Amino acid sequence: MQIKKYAYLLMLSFLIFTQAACAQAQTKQPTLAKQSIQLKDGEHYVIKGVEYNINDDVMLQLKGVNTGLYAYRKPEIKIELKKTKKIKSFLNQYPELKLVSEESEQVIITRVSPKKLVNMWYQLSEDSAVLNKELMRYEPQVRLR
Amino acid sequence: MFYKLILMVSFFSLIACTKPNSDSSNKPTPPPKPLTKTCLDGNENNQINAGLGDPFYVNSWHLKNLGKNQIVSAFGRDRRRNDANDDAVAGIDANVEAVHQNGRGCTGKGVTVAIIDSGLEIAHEDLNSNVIPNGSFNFVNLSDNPSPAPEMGNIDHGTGVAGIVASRGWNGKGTRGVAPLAKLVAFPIVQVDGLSNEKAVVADLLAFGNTPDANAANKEFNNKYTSMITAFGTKADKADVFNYSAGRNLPFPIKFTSKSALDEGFKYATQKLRDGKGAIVIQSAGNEFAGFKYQDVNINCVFGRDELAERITGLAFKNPQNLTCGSSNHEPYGKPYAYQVAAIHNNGKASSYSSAGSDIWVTGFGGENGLRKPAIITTDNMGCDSGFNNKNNTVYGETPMFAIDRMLADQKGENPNDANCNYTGRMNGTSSAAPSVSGVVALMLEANPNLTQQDVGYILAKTARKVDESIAMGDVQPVVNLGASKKLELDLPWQTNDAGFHFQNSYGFGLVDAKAAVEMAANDYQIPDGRRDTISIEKTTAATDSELDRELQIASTKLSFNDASKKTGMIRVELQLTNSSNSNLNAGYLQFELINKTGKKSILMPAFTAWFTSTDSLIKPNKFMAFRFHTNAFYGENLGAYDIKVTLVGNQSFRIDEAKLTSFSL
Repeated sequence: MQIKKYAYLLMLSFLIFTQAACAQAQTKQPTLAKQSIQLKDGEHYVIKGVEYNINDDVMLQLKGVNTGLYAYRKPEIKIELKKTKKIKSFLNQYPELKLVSEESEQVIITRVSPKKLVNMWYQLSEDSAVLNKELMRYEPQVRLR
Repeated sequence: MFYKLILMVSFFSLIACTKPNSDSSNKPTPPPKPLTKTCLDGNENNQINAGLGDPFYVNSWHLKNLGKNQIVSAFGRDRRRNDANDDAVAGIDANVEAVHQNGRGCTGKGVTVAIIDSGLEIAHEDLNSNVIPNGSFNFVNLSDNPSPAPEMGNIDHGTGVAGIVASRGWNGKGTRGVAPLAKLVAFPIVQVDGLSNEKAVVADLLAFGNTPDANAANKEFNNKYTSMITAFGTKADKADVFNYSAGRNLPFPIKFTSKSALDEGFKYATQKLRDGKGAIVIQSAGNEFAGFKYQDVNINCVFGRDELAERITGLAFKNPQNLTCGSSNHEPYGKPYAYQVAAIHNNGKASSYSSAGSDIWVTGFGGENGLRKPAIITTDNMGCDSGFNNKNNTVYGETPMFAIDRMLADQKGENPNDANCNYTGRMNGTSSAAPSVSGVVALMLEANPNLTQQDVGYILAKTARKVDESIAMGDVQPVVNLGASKKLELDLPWQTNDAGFHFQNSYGFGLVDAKAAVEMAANDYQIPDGRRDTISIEKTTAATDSELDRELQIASTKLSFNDASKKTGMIRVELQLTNSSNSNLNAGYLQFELINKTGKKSILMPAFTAWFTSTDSLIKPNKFMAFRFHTNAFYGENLGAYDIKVTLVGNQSFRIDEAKLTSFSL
């Protein structure tokens, strides 16, 4: 129930923000837009509009985790499981997770969309099988100029 | 990380052990004698038919800029409207005509230029005869063929880059390179839309890149490295010039280490190759002056910069649009080995996108986007179904391009000089500027093969032309005003340093000049006193003077080099700051300057670059952050004492914990 409640709250806020951002984009250049919802003591999530660019999707930022101002389109979460937990059964619970390292079964990295990130993070916070979780940050990649 | 380290060490160890004279780089080389015969004499028998010419040469403003009456790459709306916006200035070009001497002068013959990029279409009609057969290695698909494979994207950036360097001259086809008879090889490492797969990540690591390998380190790749290292290293060792029209966008200060793959790769190339004279690495400075994309998100500094700055500081911010957003100095690696190249437009002013920074060496030719303002004409993927010149291509994602703005070389086969869509007039960016300089370097090396890597840098700096002389002066200078009598200058006009070199952060030493550079290389060049010195290092725990100057918090520290008789090349500045206040300090509100003994100043990093947009730039209370910058502003001067000055536009306080200066050899 708790999860549903939070998910609804999140979706509602997201919709409100999207509408607001859309209306703003149609009338003038966007300014710094930010909304935050206090979901739980100690862990609070911020829904943040991407500054300055009206064409970008609304992005999510996880406050308290070092994601940078600009949340990533495809963030990765690295998870360490309790050793007693079988990885396959864990993966069955989370179809969006993907095991990418063959070196250790205790490490899972998944790519999720920013929109799914908050829910995913919250669920993993509640999961007793998860020993540690970390939002992976990317080094900036080389780009052609 | 462990795997990455092992792989890097293996790579550099393996290729290093194949080299003769591997320790020759630090030995002084004898000064070159004036050459008795050079290609400048104009008597070269290059087996070309000068009468054939190159049809697009007359439109190539970067080779010969005729001013307003020249039909350049774009003839879209503005041209049909009597060129109201055409402000081309005759003579803003590479000045190659007197060097090429219609094919009988210096043409880059005998010099090999390696294109580290997305690819190179070796079958291209205007490149093929300059491509060294089997001389390339493709990291993207692990083959000897650098031609763009389907997975490398529809537009091959590298083919355009290669054409600017060495599109074959006087063959009656297409365009002409800056060094039209130079040889080409390619080491494709990146796809058009950036690195996105494991192969490319590995490739980038090997080919001087530096990207994360979160997914790359596994046994399969480990085993593949050996053959890749051999295949790449053997071929790369034969190159004289490396063109690297790529780099990273960094909207926040990144942690740096004493060693990186990028540094090690470039160091190796510039010190060991060419029998110890060193290959020359030319890198694009970046396209982030107005804004940039990071992790698929657009960051635009101009919009909102003044508003935010004024909200925080209460001070008037003037001309925010004239201050670079992304700086080439945001990248702490690759220097002093790779020469950073900025881009100019045909009106003699910096291209609107060209990143500024005190680490820029010289300026090449980039133009604008090829739509309303011209870009650079160059080779493009062959055929009308691929490349920029593509019948399916659209402008702004809406209307087919030809319905809006027809480019001279983008007419979907309608132009008699390009019936098969093999050329484009849309190539631009510092990606275009770098190969224009690589081409000039190829001309210099043909004229004088004895030049060392440092000689080439010196000549480029010495012969570069001062352009846009009013930049950052008076009404256009970006500043934070502190009242009528005081201001914090965020960019400086051209400075002439104590060794006589002129320097400006948007242009480095100025616009590359092939004629002057080749003449100096061939005839006049003498090694200045103090060349080939070893690196001088001075390290200190800083004694910090902190003062309150109205709203500005300033800290400074003085460092001195012991031997004032030595001359400096590029200077590296490293320092660590601690936030001594109770609230977060945004590194983007810090301005870093280096001041020489006669009071001349170099702005290493102005306040309000893209850093200010990122929470990753925040220094928490009682925490520190480390910075590394490079500057060429004092190139050629005798070493002495320097002040490092850091100014915070804001209310926090901070201290300089540690500072270090490194002077690289002239």
